[in-house]
Amino acid sequence: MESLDFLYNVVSIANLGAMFLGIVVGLIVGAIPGLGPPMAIALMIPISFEWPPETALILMVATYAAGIYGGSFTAILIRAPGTSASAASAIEGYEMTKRGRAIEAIRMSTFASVMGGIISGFVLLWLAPPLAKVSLLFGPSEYFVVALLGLTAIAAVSFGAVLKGLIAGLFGLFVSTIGIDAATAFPRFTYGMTGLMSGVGILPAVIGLFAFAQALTLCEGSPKSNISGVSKLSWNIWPRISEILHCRWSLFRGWFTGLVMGIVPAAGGSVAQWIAYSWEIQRGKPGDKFGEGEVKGLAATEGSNNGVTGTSLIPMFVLGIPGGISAAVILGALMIHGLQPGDRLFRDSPEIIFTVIWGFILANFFMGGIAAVLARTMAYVTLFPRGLLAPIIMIFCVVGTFTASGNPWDVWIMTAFGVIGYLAHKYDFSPAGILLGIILGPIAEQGLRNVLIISDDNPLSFIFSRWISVLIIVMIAVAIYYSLKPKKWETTDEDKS
Amino acid sequence: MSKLTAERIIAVCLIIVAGIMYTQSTGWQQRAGSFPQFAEISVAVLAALMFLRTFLESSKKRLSGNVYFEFTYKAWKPLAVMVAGIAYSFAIFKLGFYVSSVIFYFAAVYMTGLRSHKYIFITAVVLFPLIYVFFSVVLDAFLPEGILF
Repeated sequence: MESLDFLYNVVSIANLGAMFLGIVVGLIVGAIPGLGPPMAIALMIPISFEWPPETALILMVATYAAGIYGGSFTAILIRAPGTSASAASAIEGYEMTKRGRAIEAIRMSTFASVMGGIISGFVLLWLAPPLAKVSLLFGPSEYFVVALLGLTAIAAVSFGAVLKGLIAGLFGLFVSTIGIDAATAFPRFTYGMTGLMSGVGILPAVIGLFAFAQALTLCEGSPKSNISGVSKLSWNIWPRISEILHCRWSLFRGWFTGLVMGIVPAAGGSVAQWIAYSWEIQRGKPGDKFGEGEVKGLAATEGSNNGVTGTSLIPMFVLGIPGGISAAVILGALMIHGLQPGDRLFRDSPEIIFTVIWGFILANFFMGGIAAVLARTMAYVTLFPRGLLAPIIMIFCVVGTFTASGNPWDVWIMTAFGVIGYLAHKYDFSPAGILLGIILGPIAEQGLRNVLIISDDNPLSFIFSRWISVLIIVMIAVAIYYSLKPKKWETTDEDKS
Repeated sequence: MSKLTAERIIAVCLIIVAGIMYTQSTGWQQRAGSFPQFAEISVAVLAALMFLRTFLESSKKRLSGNVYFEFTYKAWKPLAVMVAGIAYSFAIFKLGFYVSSVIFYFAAVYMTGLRSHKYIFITAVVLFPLIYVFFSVVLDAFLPEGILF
């Protein structure tokens, strides 16, 4: 337990101050659609440039953990996910808000996220080197089958309208092919428009499909009414033991999915939440109301997206392979401070790396208190009249998207997806399915293409020769079996399809 | 129009669009079109299933009734705000972010039908300085400038 010796290093005014700054900035920036953790972390780099490395890195990892959680505030309260990793939480979370259960949703979200982050932090602390070796086992064939596993979630999130859900997912896959082809540099479906050359980003798509579309949906009701239908909010922001026990298995499933998916580079919270959600739906019991504000679904998605945070840092710290944009920005900060990722980081600078990891764990712990109060305050937004909230959401969609990339095309793409998302929602073509297709399309295509090249056009024998791919294929088969099997909690399957 | 016909029209439209996209993606170099074609063919096949399903008795029962088009402002309100939103996304690059946002805010709020003038004005007074402080001062983000600022 060499790592325990460094716990005391965290408890200094500078380190705790950095932690609190990171938490507050992460929560606020993460909550604004379009900005997200990478931007929040990047903002912290110039501030912490001359700080000691451990203090600077504590600031980064605290911002990262809080940024992922902050994205859930707006997802739950107004169906406008702040980050792509919170999109699945918008489904059950917002349905709970609509039914006057916003505070209950925030309570569960906070508990699931905080505990997910802490568990993930301990895994990072104690199992980083061996788990990093597992992440090296993932090659093109595994990426391809992981993407297929993610696609099986489409059937689950379609809530009975499976055929339309699959069409939506395939539309998402098609959209993901727009832009310059990474392998051949051939422009696909760009029609000479330079703005489409770089393709459709996940961020404009998620903001459009959920937040902008939600603003349009808000215009449908009476302009004076509010989202939640309640006029008062309680201050009961801590979850009761009974609530936690009710969702215990959902939480475990969410945390486990997050921990495992975090190790897979490039998958991260965006994929983990959907797999966790689909798993949760398949394990539903009679009386569960998925798609109508089921707290178990929210517990799973929130547990998974913060369960990812610690383990996603493993490939970055141990192998120097950033698993996502946030990890890449933290890697940049690590190198700015003269540290090289790899085994030597743990051997030569244990006082820095273990202090940072303890900082990450404590940041998740403190985040619980700060986040619950901040989220409760933000919940006042659900009392706003719909007529006022809709234009405000649209303005934030535009400013958030433009600030994230500085590219006018992203604003127009976001608006287009807003229209698509609104119409898709109205006619039962799952917007979540479209988003899943867009997220998984590039992973699947790149993986398939690499497998075809490596295997000399004989992909099946190559895929089946790798045990980890076979294991994932078995998981896909199980997921498909459960998708097709009538679910215990569903009563009227035919009604929607 | 019956709901059954509407479902068939949607399915046929999907098949046509997938067909057009498939034609466009044929002949691309070095398999650049393989993955889009996989998606297009799959959409067409599923849309064909969606079309054929409408001939089943269970679907006929489920899709009984008509699609109603209500020609009142209340029904078209989201569409009106949608058009305003699209115009706004272009206007920020001509008029500037702040000018177009203020115009859009008041226009869209009134389009939704809200008439609490005091509430609308107070929200604007709080909202826009907050956006300015957060985005332009704290984040130092470049926001589009137009005719005025």
